[in-house]
Amino acid sequence: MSILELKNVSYAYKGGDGKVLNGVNASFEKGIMYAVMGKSGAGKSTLLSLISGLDLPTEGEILFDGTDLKTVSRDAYRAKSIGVIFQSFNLLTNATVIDNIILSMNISGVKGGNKEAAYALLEKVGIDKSKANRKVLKLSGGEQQRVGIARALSHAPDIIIADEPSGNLDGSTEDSVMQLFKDLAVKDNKCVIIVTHSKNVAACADEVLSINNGVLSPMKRSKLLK
Amino acid sequence: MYLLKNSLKNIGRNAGRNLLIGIILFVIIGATAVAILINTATKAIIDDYRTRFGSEVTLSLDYGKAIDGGAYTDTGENGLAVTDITPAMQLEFAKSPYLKETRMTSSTMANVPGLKVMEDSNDNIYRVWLNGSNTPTISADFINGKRKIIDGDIYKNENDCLISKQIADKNELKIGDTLLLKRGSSEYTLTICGIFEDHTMDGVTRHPLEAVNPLNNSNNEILTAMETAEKIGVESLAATYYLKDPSTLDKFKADLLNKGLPGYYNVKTDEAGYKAVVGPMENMQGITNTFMIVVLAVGAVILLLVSAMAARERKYEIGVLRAMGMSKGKVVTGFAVEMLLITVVCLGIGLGLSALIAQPIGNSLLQSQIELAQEAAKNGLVTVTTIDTGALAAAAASTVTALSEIKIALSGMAALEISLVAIGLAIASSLIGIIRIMRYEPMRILSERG
Ligand SMILES: Nc1ncnc2c1ncn2[C@@H]1O[C@H](COP(=O)(O)OP(=O)(O)O)[C@@H](O)[C@H]1O
Ligand SMILES: [Mg+2]
Repeated sequence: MSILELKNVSYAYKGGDGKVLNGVNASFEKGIMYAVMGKSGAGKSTLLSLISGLDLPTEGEILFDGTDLKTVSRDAYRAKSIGVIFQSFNLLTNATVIDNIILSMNISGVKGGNKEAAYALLEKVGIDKSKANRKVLKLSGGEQQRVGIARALSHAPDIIIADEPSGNLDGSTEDSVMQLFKDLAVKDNKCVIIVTHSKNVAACADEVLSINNGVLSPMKRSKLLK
Repeated sequence: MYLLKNSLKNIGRNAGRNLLIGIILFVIIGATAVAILINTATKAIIDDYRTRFGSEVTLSLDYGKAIDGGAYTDTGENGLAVTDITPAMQLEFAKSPYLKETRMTSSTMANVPGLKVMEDSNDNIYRVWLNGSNTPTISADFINGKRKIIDGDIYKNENDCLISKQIADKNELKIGDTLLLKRGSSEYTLTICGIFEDHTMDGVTRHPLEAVNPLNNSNNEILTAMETAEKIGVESLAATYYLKDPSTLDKFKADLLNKGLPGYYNVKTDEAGYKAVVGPMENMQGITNTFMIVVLAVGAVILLLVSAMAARERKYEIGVLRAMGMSKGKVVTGFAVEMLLITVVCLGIGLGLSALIAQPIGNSLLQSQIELAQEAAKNGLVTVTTIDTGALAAAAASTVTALSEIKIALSGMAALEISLVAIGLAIASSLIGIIRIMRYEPMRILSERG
């Protein structure tokens, strides 16, 4: 069974003009890394937000492990089942890096959610102890991005989604971050969904989807080569 | 637990804003505490005066009633033939069960054969005054310092008496000597128990044509206890009655009528004197009440504005916390705890500080109250009940003894009230803005940013 299934999902912003998503059908499996592509404004972030349980679709349903998100606590779903790396990071900028990670662990009720585990996790994404004790505000965009990744991984969720993670990373970090995502899918059997503009990133993915006119469809690999 | 830790850290993360909120809260708490303190102090003073003035009873002739009652004659003094209140009646009144005490001073003309007196003249049968008093300390001359015991002590035993230094010197009398007092055909032996310095005649000059009369010289007063004076005979008596309970005035009046007081006498407590002293205190209470309401209202409005601004600032934070999976309840609780911690600190400082300034405030109020009381006494607003039975009545001393101290402290109840108001205000104001945001899904909160 798919870990995540979208059935005829539509979404319109309140006060926005019309449907951004219009009957999206898709299913996502564990152990696979997906790339979602599409023009700016196509609705990629909107789709990720719905998958993240930040809102419910206006029509259709999103099933996690076969259960409609409408019928479960989306707080718990966000806290435990999914890790999101936002396009705009959405970190607590006034708090220190380490506090961001620990708070996330606390909210998720991670056992052994302690400072040492948080430092280790940050180390893994390339944030050392001295940076970990700085306020998020004082870090560069790329560093904040990596803190966002660490936070998404802090509670070991089944699904990890990232909204244009490569946008803020330089070439070599991009490679290492992509390797990290790839490992999460392959080695840790996670479901990884990455929104990207980069064909390089998409080339790393097992499956590539594209969003067009509010509809999500598989993309032929040959298109990536052009 | 982590919520509390996070709230604690949040206070430091937003130090500037929280300092501002803290200062506003502190001002509200402090001003309210001071207002309550002043009210407690003035209430203590008002209560004191209420019992004091409310219990001091005046008897006075109501001319209107006397005339209506048929007391009018062509021949009587002032055209009125009224029944005077005699010393015997006054002594009888003093036995009323409604009274806490009766302060009495009496005067009686007498003679001590062989005693050299001041301004002596041979054609006088009576050459000294025998003044009785049941409460020696109420004598105005002793209070204002014109008289002072310099030898011996105040009368304690029956037949004890005090004489002036002038008389003692003139007759070489000392403590323990006796005086043989004659009144009519009766004789009494009085023992001198004390000698007082007497300045009541200082600066008194006599018109050359004025007849010399030792009864006009107050150095010739022999002071004794009321019981002794009663036994010897009382010619005039001044009595001030104090009720046990101000509300029993009507019952007391009925009792006096029963004991023979003519209906055309007013039996009243002194309202004018009461108002003179209590009025300003009540004004002060009014002012502090208004002050407190204004501070609370203005404070609440400012707090609401600051919190509304803070809520806008915190919208992003709420969105992030919600996106991280924190439940609405926990977000609200966290913010409430944060505000509660700030409020508790402000309460600690505010209440602590007001506890420190409580006594100085009380003392300065008391000082102004004492000055008011003295002013009132000077203006004759304080009741002095003198009942003239023909002879010159001795004036009882005015008896405004101000409260010598008031203990002012915030009661536990008041502190609790202030705490509840402050906590309620702080939490309500901070949560009003937040709860509005909380209605939205995190997607909307985050996407509306910027
Ligand atoms: N809060 C919002 N209210 C109204 N319309 C929005 C809002 N956020 C995004 N949109 C619109 O929805 C569409 C999809 O946006 P988005 O999902 O961010 O696109 P993408 O991430 O693919 O660039 C865009 O046309 C955008 O203008
Ligand atoms: Mg986007």
